[in-house]
Amino acid sequence: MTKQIQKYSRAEIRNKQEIIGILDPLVKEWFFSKFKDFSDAQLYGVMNIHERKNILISAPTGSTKTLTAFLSILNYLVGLSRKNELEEKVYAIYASPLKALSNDIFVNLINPLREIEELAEKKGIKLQKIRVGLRTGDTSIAERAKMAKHSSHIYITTPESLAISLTTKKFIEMFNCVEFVIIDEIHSLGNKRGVYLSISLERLEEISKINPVRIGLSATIAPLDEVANFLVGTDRKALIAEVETKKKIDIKVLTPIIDLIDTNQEDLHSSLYGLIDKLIQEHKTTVVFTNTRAATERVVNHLKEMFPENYIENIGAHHSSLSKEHRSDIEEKLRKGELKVVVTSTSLEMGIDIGYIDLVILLGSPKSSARALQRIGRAGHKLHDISVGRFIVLDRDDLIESAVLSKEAIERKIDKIHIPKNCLDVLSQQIYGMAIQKIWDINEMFNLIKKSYCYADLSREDFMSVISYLAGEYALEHRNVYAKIWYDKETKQIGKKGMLARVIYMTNIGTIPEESFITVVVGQGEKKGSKIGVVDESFLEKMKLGDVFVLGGKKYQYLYTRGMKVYVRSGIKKNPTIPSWFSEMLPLSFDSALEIGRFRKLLSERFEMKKNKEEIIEFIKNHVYCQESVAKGIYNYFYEQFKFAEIPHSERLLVESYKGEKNYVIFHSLYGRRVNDALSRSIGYLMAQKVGRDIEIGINDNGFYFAGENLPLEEALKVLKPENIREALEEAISKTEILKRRFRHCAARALMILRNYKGRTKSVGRQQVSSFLLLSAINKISKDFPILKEARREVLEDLMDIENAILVLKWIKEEKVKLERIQTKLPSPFALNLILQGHMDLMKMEDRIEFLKRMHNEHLKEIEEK
Amino acid sequence: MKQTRLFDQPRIRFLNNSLLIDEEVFVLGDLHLGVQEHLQGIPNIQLKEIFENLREIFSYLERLKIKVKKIVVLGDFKHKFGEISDSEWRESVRLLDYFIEKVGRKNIILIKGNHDAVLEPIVRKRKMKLENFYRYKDIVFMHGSKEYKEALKNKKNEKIKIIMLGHLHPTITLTDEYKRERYKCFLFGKWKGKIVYVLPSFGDVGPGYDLAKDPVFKYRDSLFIDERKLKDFHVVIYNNKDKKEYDFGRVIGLIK
Repeated sequence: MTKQIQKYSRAEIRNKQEIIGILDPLVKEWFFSKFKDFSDAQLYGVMNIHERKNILISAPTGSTKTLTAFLSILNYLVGLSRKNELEEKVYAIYASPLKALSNDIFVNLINPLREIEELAEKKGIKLQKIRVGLRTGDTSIAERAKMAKHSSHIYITTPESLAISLTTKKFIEMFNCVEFVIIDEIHSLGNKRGVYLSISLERLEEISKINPVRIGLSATIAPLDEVANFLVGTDRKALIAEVETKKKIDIKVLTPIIDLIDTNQEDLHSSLYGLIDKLIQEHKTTVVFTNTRAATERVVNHLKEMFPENYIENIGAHHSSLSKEHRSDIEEKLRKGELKVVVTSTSLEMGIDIGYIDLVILLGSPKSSARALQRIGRAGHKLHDISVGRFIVLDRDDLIESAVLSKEAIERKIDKIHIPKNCLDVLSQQIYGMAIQKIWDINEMFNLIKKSYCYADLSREDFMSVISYLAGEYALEHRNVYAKIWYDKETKQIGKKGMLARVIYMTNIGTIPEESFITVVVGQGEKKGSKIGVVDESFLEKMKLGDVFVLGGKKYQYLYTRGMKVYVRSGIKKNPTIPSWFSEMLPLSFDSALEIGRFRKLLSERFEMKKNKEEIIEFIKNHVYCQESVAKGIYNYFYEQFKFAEIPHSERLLVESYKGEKNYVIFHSLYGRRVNDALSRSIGYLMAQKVGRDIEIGINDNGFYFAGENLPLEEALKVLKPENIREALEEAISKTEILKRRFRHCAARALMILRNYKGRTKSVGRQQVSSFLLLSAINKISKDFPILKEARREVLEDLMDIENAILVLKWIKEEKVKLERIQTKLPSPFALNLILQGHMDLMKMEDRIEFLKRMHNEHLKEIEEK
Repeated sequence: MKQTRLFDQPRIRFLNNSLLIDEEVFVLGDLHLGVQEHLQGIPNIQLKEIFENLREIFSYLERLKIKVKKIVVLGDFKHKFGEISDSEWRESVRLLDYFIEKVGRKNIILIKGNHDAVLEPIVRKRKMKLENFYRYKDIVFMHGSKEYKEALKNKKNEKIKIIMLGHLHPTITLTDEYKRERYKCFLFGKWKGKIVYVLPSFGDVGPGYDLAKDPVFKYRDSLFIDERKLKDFHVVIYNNKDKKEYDFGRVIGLIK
């Protein structure tokens, strides 16, 4: 079982004079020439870092966290350089997941350093040069060589580049006495990049003769103890500085139209864009957050079409599918104040400086309170500004969700981060890197890895299976030429194998393409041959010949795919035929989902107590801090559900059956899509197994449904238990596309499929072929092959949320949540969106051959009819 | 369904990813030996599977008292361009020896594929050679990446009626309202007054080209037959379980 998260003590605000007392006169003079006083983050952080205490500083954006960390370090280095004691080594490493970090670094490090140097010069004080080196994936070879010659004192890097440095002899020497490590934007590392970094930090610690102080900088995040644990690993002390925000927020939920149900799409559409336009025009600069890249495109498109006089050059789209040049161009224009509005999906959530924003519009629920705060915090970036955020809701479920999320944001309730554990693909890559660095004793290696929070409970068995894979033991005897490491069972030693090891490692390192992207190239029409951007693979799977889609605000028609490129025709007038892509839709967080469940319960009780309309509306207004029109909308929705059937809530899981074209069973399980995914697939699998036919499954954040001829629900529910859901799910996903896709990503991370080999880059297309073969081969060898196991873990734990699904099953078992079955003639109001959205997957039970025969019969019928 | 005349060709028997002509010529498509070569850290099971499939087919034919006299491989015997690795060498020779054991060296016809640039030394080791095309009665066998016009010329006033090709690895995705499954398939249809058969890959070379999705004509190394013509070809899926072929009508009917 998972180890308990350690508890850490809270840092306290330190005395201002105490901090001034430790500052070098030069630094002190510089600081007070720029700032009136210390910020809260500095009062919490500077002294503790100076005293070499590990610290996690959690503070909202714009609260000078980064400068806090650098202030202590610069102060220390200036002191050394004044005494001419600066050595040829790296004193501090700064790692940030952001690639576009240079601007931040200029503001918080380069400029201060230059200004301090100028000050020293003016005063005739001789300082040794303090060197700052920047190494990211974009750093040229010449620059890298220069860096290797003269050690930087402060080394700026990304998680990936840091890992490469850790295998490079020259850098290992320079890292042998690192005193500080700063991890910025640590809240965005709850993924495999973070897992990767966590081992790199332990490797750094192993190389360095002294233990560097670890400094984590984070936006508002929860639970802080877990993040601190992630920062320092197991068995180390740390302080947590929880810097409270002074920034005021002004949040409102707006509906484009009062009655969200009895309106036609056109009216809703025009009032929605009318409202967005009105808000934008009333403010100086607006950022609109949508939840998907496709929606981003759509909004830009519609605003331009509906208000051509308002939006010409002053509107831009910013999302991860667009090219780097396009994105930095938009960021630059934002900083210069040249844009009226930017529409983005998630890419502008992170900490890059985007200048003055006075309004943030959240189009559709942001799906978690942490994300809501993060997004709204982009407005009024300065610490004492008011952040203005407006939720605009799109349908009635969205209305409830946004209202509850806005309540959570106002009350600053934060949902929990998920940090993946025991990822065997990342582990493979790191072990390879370690073996390249030197020869290891296996126990020494194992112990080092287990110091990382993400591997604290890694089993010896899993560790050994990764070693076996890397050592080529899964291969036939005569084929272990592809082994990456050797492991000597006698001496218990591990080392690298192959002359090309370092090259293979360096050119294939990394954990992102979590989703592989496919480049969109113009194949016909204007600007033939130019690259427009990328789309993800799952989007491509849906595309048929002739489909029209939007990218970068322009329309393109799908022509054909070649390897990792998709060719399109430009200059298309037709309307898009592909509205959005489902796979990237953000799931509602479990904690926020539960909060909505509680809200439902409070309302349900009031309806059952026969409170009148006015009382209930008043309650809604007070509870979620909303205006009358919003409360009315919420009331109406609940009233309809109450009249029609029953209101499902946190303690009542409504299971609704009705007969349409097929039989439907709807679970009103408001737990977010990740949990519903796990619950529905395991139940669906058990039912499909029983009847031997496919069962259709539809899932959203509010529930899931099954459709099919025969749905033996009772039997499935009797079998499913908290103890066996994992087993059922593993079976259920074993043949799905999603497992295949995830397996390919894991195989690439584990370096089973090399993207780059002997100077040749392998296309995604070829990677696909490789992984297809690989998976079929591995399935025949062993179900416990570590990378297959990892792909399953990733689907169950990261993509789905099996942990909380187990929790829900326990609640049901203990009757904390009661299952209530009802029969309806039509889907109840709360079920409507779920049914309308349609099925998303199928529990495949029907045999391939049976399907072939059935399709053939249908085909014959069709031909005969003609 | 009205069975097409083509389909009733008594001369052609459908087998698992292969064909038998006149109950004596065994034809199989691309093998791509060594396609797993560039994969890391797992054993190569490809050859094992190819052998399993071949043994299964030959024992099935034996049960039907059919004796294969010739074997035609439609090209792309091996996968890699340019160089031969040890394992490919070993595997290729093992497979050739199996064929020799079945029909004798002189009755094996190896058509040269676009992946076979340096297969020659291996083949030479067994005193065999690669052909650009091969004629048997009124049938011409080619790989399919390149059209050999001379193959179709009437030398001895032989009339060529049928062309057999590999290269494309056709597959088709069948979909109903919500289910999708992908199958390897054969294609056959008329082209320039001849009947053309396109065979699926024999070895497991990955997903193959999906006729319902990938417009064939855009592939650099596509078939020499025009894509518009291919749309009129028939799709046949062979079910190895009940040893039956299923004609799904024309490609065009399946992709709209």
